[in-house]
Amino acid sequence: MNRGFGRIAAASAAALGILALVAAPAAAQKRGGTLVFVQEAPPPTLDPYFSTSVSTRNVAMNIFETLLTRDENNGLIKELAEDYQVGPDGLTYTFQLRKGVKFHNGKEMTSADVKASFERYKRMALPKVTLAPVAAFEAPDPHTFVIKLSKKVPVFLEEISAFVSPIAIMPAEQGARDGGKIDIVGTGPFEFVEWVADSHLKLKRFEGYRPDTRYKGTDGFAGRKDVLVDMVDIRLVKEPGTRVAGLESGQFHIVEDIPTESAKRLEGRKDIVLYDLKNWWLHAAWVNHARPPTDNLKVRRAMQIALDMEAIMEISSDGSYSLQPGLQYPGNPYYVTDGKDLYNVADPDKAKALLKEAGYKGEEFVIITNSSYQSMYKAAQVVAEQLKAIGMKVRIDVFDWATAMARRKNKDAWNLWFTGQGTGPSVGPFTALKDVVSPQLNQFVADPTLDKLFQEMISGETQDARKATFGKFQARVYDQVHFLKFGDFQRKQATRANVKGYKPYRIPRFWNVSLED
Amino acid sequence: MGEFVLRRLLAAIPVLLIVTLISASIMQLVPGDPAAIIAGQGATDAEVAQVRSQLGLDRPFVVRLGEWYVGLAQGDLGFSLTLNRTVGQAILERVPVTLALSGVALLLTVLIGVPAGVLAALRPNSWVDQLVLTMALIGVSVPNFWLSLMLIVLFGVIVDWLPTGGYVPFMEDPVEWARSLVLPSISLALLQIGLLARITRATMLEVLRNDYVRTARAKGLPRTMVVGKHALKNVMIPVVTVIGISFGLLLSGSVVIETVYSIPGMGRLLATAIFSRDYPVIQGGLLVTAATLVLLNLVVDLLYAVLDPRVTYDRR
Repeated sequence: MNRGFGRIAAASAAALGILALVAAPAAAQKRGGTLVFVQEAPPPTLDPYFSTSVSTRNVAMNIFETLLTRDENNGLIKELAEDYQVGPDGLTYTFQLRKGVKFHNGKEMTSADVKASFERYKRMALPKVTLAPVAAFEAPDPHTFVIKLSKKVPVFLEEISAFVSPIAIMPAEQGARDGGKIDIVGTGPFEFVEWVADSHLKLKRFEGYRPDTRYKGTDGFAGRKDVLVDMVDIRLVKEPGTRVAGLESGQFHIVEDIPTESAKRLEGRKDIVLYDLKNWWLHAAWVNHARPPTDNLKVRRAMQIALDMEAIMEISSDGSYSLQPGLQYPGNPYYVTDGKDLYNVADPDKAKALLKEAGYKGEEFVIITNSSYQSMYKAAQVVAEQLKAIGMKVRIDVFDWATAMARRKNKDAWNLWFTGQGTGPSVGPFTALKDVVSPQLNQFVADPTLDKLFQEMISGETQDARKATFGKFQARVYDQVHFLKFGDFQRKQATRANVKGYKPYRIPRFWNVSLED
Repeated sequence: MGEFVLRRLLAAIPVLLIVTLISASIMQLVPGDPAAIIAGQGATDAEVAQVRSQLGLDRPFVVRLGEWYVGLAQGDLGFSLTLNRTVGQAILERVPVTLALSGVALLLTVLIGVPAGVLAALRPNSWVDQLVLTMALIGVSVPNFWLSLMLIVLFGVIVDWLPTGGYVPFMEDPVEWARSLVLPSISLALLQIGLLARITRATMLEVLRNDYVRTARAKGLPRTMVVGKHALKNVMIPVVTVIGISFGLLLSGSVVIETVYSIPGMGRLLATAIFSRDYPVIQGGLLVTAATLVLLNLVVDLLYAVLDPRVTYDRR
């Protein structure tokens, strides 16, 4: 009897413990309230298949979910997939779907919805090439989805889980819709309420959302998502001073981007919490191999070794940066440092000698930068001065972003074109670096060695093999100066002190965030 | 009068068509591709081309413009490339906001600018005059984005009386609507108040030197009546012209204020559309702005007739 009671008591205690653990995030935090989140840029669309922009993802990733996504360290993690298996031939991918998942329209998600979403993605999504090797999508039963490939793609799971343009699962009836013309209905923890262009977007808690109990808390885009606030009011505030003022007065709860100078001023305030979002943006420039003088490798090398990245990053980021040679962020599974000897050499004397050896005769070196991204504008100014100091004749053309993008396609218009990569380097090397391989070729001249390495990399059987090839790829990029990396930006974010559970990430996650008194 | 109004309205049609033709042509000459903006920075050329094709932007300019005019004849201004709504809807959402902001700013301009100018003119070179002129000079000289940020810091953060930005529709909450317009309308009005005060002062000084004013005073009429009834009405002719121009400037010149205060008005709609090369919105927005200015000019012309009996638009 006593033993029996003891067992029951122990079991009850264990059950209570588990319950407490499961309920922990929600129980410790308050429910209710409207969270006011502020971002700078308006989303060009809320259709996640139809844009690669961060402002679209900021909103969409809270509304939509995918079969597989990325965890806090960019590893693969299951979301709407309960489980999956890859066939022995590497051509068949079978996904078991989570049961009881509802769309915001109340309908239960089935494999028909998943199939229609993948078909729409293959038909019209920007990175539809991801699904080009697919021979067939099948939905054998309501909770099983099968993808059959026509050829083996070792990185297939990494590609379909990348969130540049996520393969969000939508109701099947949207399968025939064109880009940007969908109803904003997903399975995520928040449902869409309204979008007043240039003003705000509103989301509300999806009452039919069932948190994924396989996980304990937020983990990348997946994990256990408890919705603690009633509403999220996403305000679009372009002017940095207004964003900071709204935060200080308490009208805004989370500001995704505040100027470094303002962050310094706000340090030590008890009502505001500051965050560093590391590895936010890889600051860089494309190098044109078709237009003189950068058609000459020796001139490109002179330029490369002349540059002092510390000075460039210090000025362009107001001091929020880190220096490292990798074209992936540290901590990423593919992070390598190959080519580091050619990064941040900052040797103007050697560069001058090399320029002479290259036979440089004062040809005009044109930099294109833009006024829309101040960091790129400032970086261009510093680079120009450093190149003038080694005897180059430099001209800077400043345009708005749209014009700068249009000019990039003209191979006679520039030598150095200022850019940055945000999400690309965080999802693996396959997305970010396709810009320097055929057919994209932002440098205009194909490098057969680089193209071969890229193919070798994406067909590597194991992650270790792919990583080893990526090391060679990165070394080649430095060796031929295909791309000029300056450094990694950190983003300054801030919340009011009563915001609990906020963890900076590439995209703001409104789940597990609460507003305390 | 009716015939005059009708003639002016009919004459406006070719003007508006020319405005749209010129604006569409200029935008085509400006480099930049809306598809590249929508696709995002990380998109490849192939992905951008795909967006361009899906939006129908790969068709010749003349064909797209022709379609736009056909739509216009049916009252359809097209579909925005970036806002997920029709251009008509986008404009209808914005017009009340801009009208409210410009209307309140105009009210402040007239209520402060005209009396300040009159007061200064009545006592030329006195401390009142110096004060008005100095304030007017400050109003004209202070950049309004800087003033806006200072007002936000003072009233939104330090004393915390007013919101730092954003707009609340009147129907949602009239009190918050009014509160949300205080700082932006002051920022917007200050330059116009300065200009109007100076114009009113100069015109009033000129009018007060006229014989009929002296005669009225000699007849023993009280000063308030001479100024308020006889002089002011004559001052109002140039002042109304300036008010008309001011209102036009307030309507179209609120881009900076709308950006600083995050107010979704017409100025911001057009500025964002220009930066993202949202051609249908630019076309529709400029058409509405131009039509408003044409109407405004007509109203000013009609006001002349009200203020000055010598002005008549009826054919004799």
